[in-house]
Amino acid sequence: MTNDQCEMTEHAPSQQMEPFLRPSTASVKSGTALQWGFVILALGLLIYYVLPTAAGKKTLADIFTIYLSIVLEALPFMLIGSLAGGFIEEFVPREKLTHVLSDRKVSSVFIAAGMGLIFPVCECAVIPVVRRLLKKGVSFSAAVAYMLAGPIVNPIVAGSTAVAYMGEWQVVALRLVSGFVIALVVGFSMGHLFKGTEALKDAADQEESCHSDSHGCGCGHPDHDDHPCAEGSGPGSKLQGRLVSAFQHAGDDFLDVARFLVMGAFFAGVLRGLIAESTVLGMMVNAPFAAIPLMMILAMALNLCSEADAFVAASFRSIIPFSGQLAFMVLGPMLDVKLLLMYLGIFRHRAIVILASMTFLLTFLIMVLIQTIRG
Amino acid sequence: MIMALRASRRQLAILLPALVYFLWLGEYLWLLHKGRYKAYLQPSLWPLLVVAVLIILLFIYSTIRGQSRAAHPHGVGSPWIQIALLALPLVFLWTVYGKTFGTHTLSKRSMDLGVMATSSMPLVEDRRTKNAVENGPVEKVTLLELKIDRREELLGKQVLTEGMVWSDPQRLKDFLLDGLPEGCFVLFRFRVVCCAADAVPIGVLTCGNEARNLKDDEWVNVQGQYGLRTIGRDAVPCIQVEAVNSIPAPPPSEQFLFRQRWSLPGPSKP
Repeated sequence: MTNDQCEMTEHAPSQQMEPFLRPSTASVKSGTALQWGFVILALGLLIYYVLPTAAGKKTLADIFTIYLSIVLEALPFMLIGSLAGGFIEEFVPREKLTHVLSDRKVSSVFIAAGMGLIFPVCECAVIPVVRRLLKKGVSFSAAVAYMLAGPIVNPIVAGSTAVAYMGEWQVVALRLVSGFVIALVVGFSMGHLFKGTEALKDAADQEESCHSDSHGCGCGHPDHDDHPCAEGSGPGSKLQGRLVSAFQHAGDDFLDVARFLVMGAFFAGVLRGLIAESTVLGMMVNAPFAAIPLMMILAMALNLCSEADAFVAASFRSIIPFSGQLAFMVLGPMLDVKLLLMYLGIFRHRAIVILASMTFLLTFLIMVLIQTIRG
Repeated sequence: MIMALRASRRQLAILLPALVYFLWLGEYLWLLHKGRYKAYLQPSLWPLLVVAVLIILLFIYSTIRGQSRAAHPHGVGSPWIQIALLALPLVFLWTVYGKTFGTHTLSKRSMDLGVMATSSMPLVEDRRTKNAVENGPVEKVTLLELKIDRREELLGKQVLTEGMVWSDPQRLKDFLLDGLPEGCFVLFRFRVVCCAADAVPIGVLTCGNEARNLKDDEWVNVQGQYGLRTIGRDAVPCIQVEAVNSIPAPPPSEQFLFRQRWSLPGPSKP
């Protein structure tokens, strides 16, 4: 929403009186999800303490350990991503960013999908960066393309895949190219399906607060005069003030997205701690044609870091067809349980469902194609 | 009165993000102290944790200096719930630190014992004969070296290694097609690449009279000759035990085996 549009609603009496009592529908839904998340996590802890059987306690302890390991590893990446987002917000001019990644240019989606090669990010760090890029005016297509491809099409993941597959560069190339193509197609399609900010969760929040957010940074801070992001006022005109402002934006982004990570990682821990790998692998032995979708489901359930998943995929080499291993490595960084919940921090539910379905389906089709070609 | 209450609540809400940052700062510092983070993460990730500490410090500074979004009630959900949710992992850490993976975890993971068809044995037998040093020095190795990094080089040699015991014959049948011989158990540990979520068990068959009467999950060190044992139609890498000693479980930060993320397995010597 532009500032002009904001001014049109500026004098709505109800908003002037109690703006903070009128949360958007999207906010209310996310707030409810948050409360449920808290209840489920607290319940998990409670069950651990009241559970009488040692076996049950051990299983829960495993789940909690997996959960903690995901959170402890992902949070630093998310902090770095948030900080990068804060600096983008404060120091990268909107015009420059939208010039390179604007809506009108097809090339912007290609650039965004390959941006991970220069700015390597993992799937946890990319969420706050994308959130900030969208607020800064980057096109939806380009942001989605970067979000999906960034955690795959980057030198760190290429290196770890090469190590896991003992230098088989064909595997590395197929993984990166598949990720790039899927990100492109999904990026273009999402941009075609959703216009403007209609896919974004924060659009409603911005509409509601923009009457007081006329400095246009989308931060939601109502106190323009004091807030350093107000151009030309107070500390905003000095480097120190701009740095503080960047940290504040980064902190806001971190708090907004980290809670979805905290919830998502818990569900990931539950799935990882309860699903027996042998069950999934056994299903594939009995029905080899099902290896691709089953490995995709396994990737979603295990929630592994894109740096580590190649090692797990490689351990299936003697059991699972190559297309299944590749499906595991391509889908995991784009779509898993933890990421699905983290997407709640950016997108509306409908957009998440379409994004997830399209990514899953496209990965499946490309893997079937690769399986057919390789035989 | 109501306005005053709202104002004080708002002031309190300003401090909530700072509280979360302080809690997480404390947690990461505690984990970095004495390398406790290695109970969850790959050791080479320590710079990442240091970076996290520095960024959290910056966030604390900016939150105290200015205002945070959590102070503004137009955010998503109650700020109290948001902050409580972000603080919950600390309670989980306090609850489970020190409770590590064991035999109960194996039921959810796949373990490759290196079972091979006997038709592939002659080549390996040759390697074993070349390496055989019956009374040679005992080499202290990890299960990672034994099973992955130096698996062929060590065949036929005297080794000393340590791990946990798994001796449930029923479950072991899943891994050894023709059953487990008397007096054998699997010595295992977990290998981690990035974090405990990707932990994979590594185990080696261990046989000998000294191997009897051991309990599941017990930590032992095993000394013996590493070679191949024929079980039915299969050949299985195995340690023929000469001595087994119970040892105290290592601290949680030393229980995983870590593969260096960028290291290829070492070349096997001919």
